[in-house]
Amino acid sequence: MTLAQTVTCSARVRQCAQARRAAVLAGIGCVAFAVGLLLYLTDRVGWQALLLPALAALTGGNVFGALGQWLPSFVHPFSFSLFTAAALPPASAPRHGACVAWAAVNIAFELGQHPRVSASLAEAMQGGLSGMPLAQALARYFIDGTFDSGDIVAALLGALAASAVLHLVHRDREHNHAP
Amino acid sequence: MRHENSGPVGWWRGLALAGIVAAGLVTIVGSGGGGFLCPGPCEGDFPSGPIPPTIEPPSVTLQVGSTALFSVRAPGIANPTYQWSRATRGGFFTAIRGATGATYTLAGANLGDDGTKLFASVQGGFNGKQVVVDSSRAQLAVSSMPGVVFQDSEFQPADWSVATISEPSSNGPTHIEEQALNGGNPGAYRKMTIVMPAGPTKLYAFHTFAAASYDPASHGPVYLIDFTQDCHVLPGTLGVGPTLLIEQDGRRYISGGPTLCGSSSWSNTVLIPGTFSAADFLRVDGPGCAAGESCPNFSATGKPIRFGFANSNEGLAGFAGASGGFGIDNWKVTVWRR
Repeated sequence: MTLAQTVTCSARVRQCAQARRAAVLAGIGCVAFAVGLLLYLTDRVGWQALLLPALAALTGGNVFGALGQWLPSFVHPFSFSLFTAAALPPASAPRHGACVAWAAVNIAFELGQHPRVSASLAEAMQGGLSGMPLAQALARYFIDGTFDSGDIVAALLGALAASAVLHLVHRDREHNHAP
Repeated sequence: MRHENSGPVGWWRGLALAGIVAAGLVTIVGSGGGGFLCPGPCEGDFPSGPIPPTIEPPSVTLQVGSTALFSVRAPGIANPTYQWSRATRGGFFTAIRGATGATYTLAGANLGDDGTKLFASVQGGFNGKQVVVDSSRAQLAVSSMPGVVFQDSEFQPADWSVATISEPSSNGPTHIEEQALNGGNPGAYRKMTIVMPAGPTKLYAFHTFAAASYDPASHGPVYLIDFTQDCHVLPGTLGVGPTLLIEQDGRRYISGGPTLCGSSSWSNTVLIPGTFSAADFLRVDGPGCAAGESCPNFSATGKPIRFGFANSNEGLAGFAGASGGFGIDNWKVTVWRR
């Protein structure tokens, strides 16, 4: 085997491993996202979510119990951190940066629901930013959404959990494919 | 060695990332923030958040120097505490110092208060956890002149005229209006009985109060119109949505809603938003408006305006036909000038 052939073969193995890692991350993210979706279909009434139709047969249940209050705030940064990490280059820093970024986004949106700022934000959405896509939905989100510090904690835990999964998946794969 | 981000792989990666970020943001907004609340009573629902607090009245128009009183109602929230906020016209909301009760009084209103919006943040217990929920908005309008009031609670037949449009014109819907001497809120009221044949059919009825005529040229330009009336539905009728009617220069306009008169007992139907400017009216009958023409025209050049109320009913294809009716009492229009 020539040197050139060895390099090509190693690159293919590395690309294959990266693809597998991305698939694992996306898969875990999808499962978590599906759990969040299920919660909205069972424990939340239809009008609470703009994107989901009201399913009379499913709504009004209490499948997730008290956990259902904060589960969406946990699931969102968790699954989207994994989705983002799956799409990022394999370097370590940007992967964990995705967790930080999604935690920040979720916390910022939660803070936007705080009564001290929600009305002003909604006014801005309906006023100067009314031409922006989703402006009306954003205004409703800030006004009608309920600020809950538990959601902030849940978002932080979700991002931390995603970071832990990233660490485990990459450590495991690196261990298995070490030369 | 090829860089990871170069070439088609980098391009697809960038596209995927953009899609993920967009989906993530849309998912957050679309999720509703954990507290999108029922727009009205929702029997059978089990909301994870309380019904949004509401402010009564939702709009107030008064003369300079008068006092406005607002109250907030927060059903389902235990041990509520309140913080009122206000925004002047075009401004941002700020908390009102010391306004922490279930009511808020604005004494000695001045023209600077015109266009003020208010809401109350209600904090308290719901389902065992502390929540903070913002109320609906209320608005305040202030006029330098007293309002011109037109009202009727007797509904003498000679005082009211009605014009109906039925589709189809033959064998179509019918509408009977009369003064009922008893059963009003209290005393007499105006009773409407409607028969809708099998659909598709449409019925529009425009009721005009003869004594209610306002001439902007002599009385002054119209700033806002307040409207309120009591209504109930006759047995067997699910609901109707009577609206404010104005007539000017051969055209008819309606405004108000969404509102529903759906109870067999009398209730006050404060039409949302309750206070109407010219822009809130929709032309429903009469010639079209020319480009640049004000329709309706509330300025000093506007023709005389007459007031009343309107109701419309529609039977769609497959509709088997029905009959019902409703009553109106304590009809009142207040015209405000600057």
